[in-house]
Amino acid sequence: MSSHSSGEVVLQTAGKLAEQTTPNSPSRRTLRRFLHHRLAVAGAIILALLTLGAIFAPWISPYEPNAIDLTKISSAPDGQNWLGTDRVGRDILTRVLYGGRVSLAVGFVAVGLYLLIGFLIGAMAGYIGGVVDNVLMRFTEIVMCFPTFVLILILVGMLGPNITNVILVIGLFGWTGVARLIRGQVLQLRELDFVLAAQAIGCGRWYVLIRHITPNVVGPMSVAGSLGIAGAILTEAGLSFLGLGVTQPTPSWGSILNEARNPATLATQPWLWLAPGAAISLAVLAANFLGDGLRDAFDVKSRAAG
Amino acid sequence: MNFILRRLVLVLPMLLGITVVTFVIINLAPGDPITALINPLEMNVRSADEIEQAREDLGLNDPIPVRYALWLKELATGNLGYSIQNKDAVRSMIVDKLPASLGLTATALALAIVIGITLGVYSALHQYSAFDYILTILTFFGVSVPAFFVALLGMYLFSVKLKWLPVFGMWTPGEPTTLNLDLLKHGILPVTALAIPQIAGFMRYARAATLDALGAEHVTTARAKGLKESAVLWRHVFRTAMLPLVTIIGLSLPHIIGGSFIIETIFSWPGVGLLGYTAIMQRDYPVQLGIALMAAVAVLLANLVTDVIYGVVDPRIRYE
Repeated sequence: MSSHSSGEVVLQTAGKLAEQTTPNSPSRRTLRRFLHHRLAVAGAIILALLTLGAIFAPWISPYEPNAIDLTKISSAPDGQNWLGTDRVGRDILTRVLYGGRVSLAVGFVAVGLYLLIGFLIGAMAGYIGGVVDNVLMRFTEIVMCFPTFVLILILVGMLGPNITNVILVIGLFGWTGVARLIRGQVLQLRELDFVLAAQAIGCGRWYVLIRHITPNVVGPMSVAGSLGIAGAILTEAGLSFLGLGVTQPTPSWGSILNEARNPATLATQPWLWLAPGAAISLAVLAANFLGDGLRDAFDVKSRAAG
Repeated sequence: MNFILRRLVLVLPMLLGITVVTFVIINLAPGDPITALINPLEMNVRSADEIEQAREDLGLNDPIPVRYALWLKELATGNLGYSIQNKDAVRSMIVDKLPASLGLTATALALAIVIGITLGVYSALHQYSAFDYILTILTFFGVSVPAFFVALLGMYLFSVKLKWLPVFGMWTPGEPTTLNLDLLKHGILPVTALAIPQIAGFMRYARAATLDALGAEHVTTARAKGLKESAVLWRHVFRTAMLPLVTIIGLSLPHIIGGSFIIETIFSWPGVGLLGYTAIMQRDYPVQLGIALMAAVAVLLANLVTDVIYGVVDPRIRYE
């Protein structure tokens, strides 16, 4: 009788423990911390809305982004064109919605590319160590000496301004911060007990890296990724604003703003450049909020990102 | 001492690395340097032999490592090449524009350091106050709103609507080109637009570093032994917090140089950034690469100086 009841107690305790451990698992804890970060959640929602607006632009707007309407040249916002029209009568709201396609795509794809490069270089440097680490890190420091925006301007100028080149060039020069961040993380992780345990039971070198170390850098990578999206959107906007990114007639937030470089447009048609400028600011702000929230949620201490 | 020496030894290979990266980019440039030097209208007049001879004379038929060595030899004598557009020496073109750019970027950087650090430290000392909360939100805007949008807003508001400030250039035509009130008026908008993202950046770091220092054990000790709060802050918190900021200043330099390209272009500020932008639009590769190379070397040296200062003030770094 007594043995039966004590067995029951053990089972109950185990059940309770299981109930308690699941909500307290690291990923749950991270999710909870993230959801408590109001700005981060707001950032995620804003980014999602901007992305949905860009994807569903044809259904949202009754206008074509490049449709010229010479009866409505440079008209101020009204009931028909909520944000006004430009000098050939194209609807600004429509162009801002469609512009999100280019700006956000550049942000996501370029950052995906440099996260990959940064991860490979950082993980190799941190995991192999020695001469490899030294060579890779000195190379990283050399690339960091060049003002990234200037290099990107020059290379896009050489290769020709189009979306593919903008994505490639941002991707090829943005990885330095990520590489240093990942290297630092891997250096710490590879000394931890669970890595030693994995090695002790005979896991191969690369198996340990992929199976045990990589999952632990996903958090820092997501932080670097969202802050990186903010930076890439800013870079694309700067390039297109200077006329070196996406070229007319394709709308991107930066290329619509490019028209404001004409002093007459700046002075008399503020609706033309306020909307795309606000869209850029909003998207970058949202990505920064998101990154900051993720940093708190994953408790990333390193400041090497960026 | 050992630390400084080791750091100095590293500079040479880094310098070489910078030249290699630049040389690779030069060779990515489309077109042949020879055809670029020949007037297109004379293209069919010149015989193939003549062009081949010119290639041979300029060493363009040599293998790439030989060409790199030749280019490096010229570079060592201070020859950055010649502009394709107006045949001027790239070095003198850059040197001519340097004062305007240095004035702009140095003012913006100094303002950003002073304002950013002051606000950041204040914010940390009053953590969770309304002031801290508002400042934190403002820093998010500071790093998120593009500098060129700030510039456009500033131009629209202060130059077009209120007519307080001039729109373009460094001086009103006809005014003496000296350090005068006219220059100050022209400088306000570009300096502000360039400084805002930096102020926000420095504020974030200063706030975080001060909070870290406030929690440090030696600060608790200082308080425990009954030191006045002002002495604790000045002698222990502030000094610890300012150390990492030395490196942040060095790291912010590439961003300021990048930002000056856009800001100088918007405001027609006759500096190196505008020169570089014009060179990119005119496909004047020697000028572009001369600027990139000089900017990279400047960043390298700035990082060296900050590292050495850091090593001198913080003994922990030296014995790492």
